[in-house]
Amino acid sequence: MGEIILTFNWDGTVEKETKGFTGKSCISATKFIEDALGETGERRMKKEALGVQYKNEEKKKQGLSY
Amino acid sequence: MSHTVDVSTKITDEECLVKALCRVENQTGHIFPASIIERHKDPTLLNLYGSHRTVNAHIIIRRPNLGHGAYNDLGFVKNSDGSYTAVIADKYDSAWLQRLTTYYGVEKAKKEFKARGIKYTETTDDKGRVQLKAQVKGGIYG
Repeated sequence: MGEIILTFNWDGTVEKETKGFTGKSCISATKFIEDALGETGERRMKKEALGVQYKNEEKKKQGLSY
Repeated sequence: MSHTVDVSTKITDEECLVKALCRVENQTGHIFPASIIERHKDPTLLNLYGSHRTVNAHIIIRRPNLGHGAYNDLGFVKNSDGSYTAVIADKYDSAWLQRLTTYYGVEKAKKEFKARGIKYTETTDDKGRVQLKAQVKGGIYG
């Protein structure tokens, strides 16, 4: 399972963070909540997540699968 | 992969707006009971003290319920695009509207999660902000 964390600021804006997704599936799997809430700003891929993706790709190359 | 994104909340859902009005503190430090919130299918006249404007709204709280010093009704007008515009005055200012919008976002997100059968928890972070955490299919482990 992936995780969505929504943090609601008192100025009416919402910070959406996703964890535990592979590739860009985090965007498609959680876009419904952005569409429901309003207008979306800039999307930032997390550095540590990019690192996880890199490690996953390395494991796939080595024949390891999830 | 994971990501973060900021979303500016837009009020479009009547049910969630009413729930938000029942959560946000009013100017007397209390919350509004649902029973005093008028919901109109057709726009209804707001009482605006000393104003020559005629404003009709769909969601209304009358001024006797707004606390001491309120001279005007509080209302929300539904626009043709489905969004709501607030008609606020007196002590119900932009800061209050921002807090209302925040609670609206919380209620709207909870409604979307429930509609999809997604389990969530509601907590408060160390800065006093409301947080929702939800488990969603499509992650590494499911």
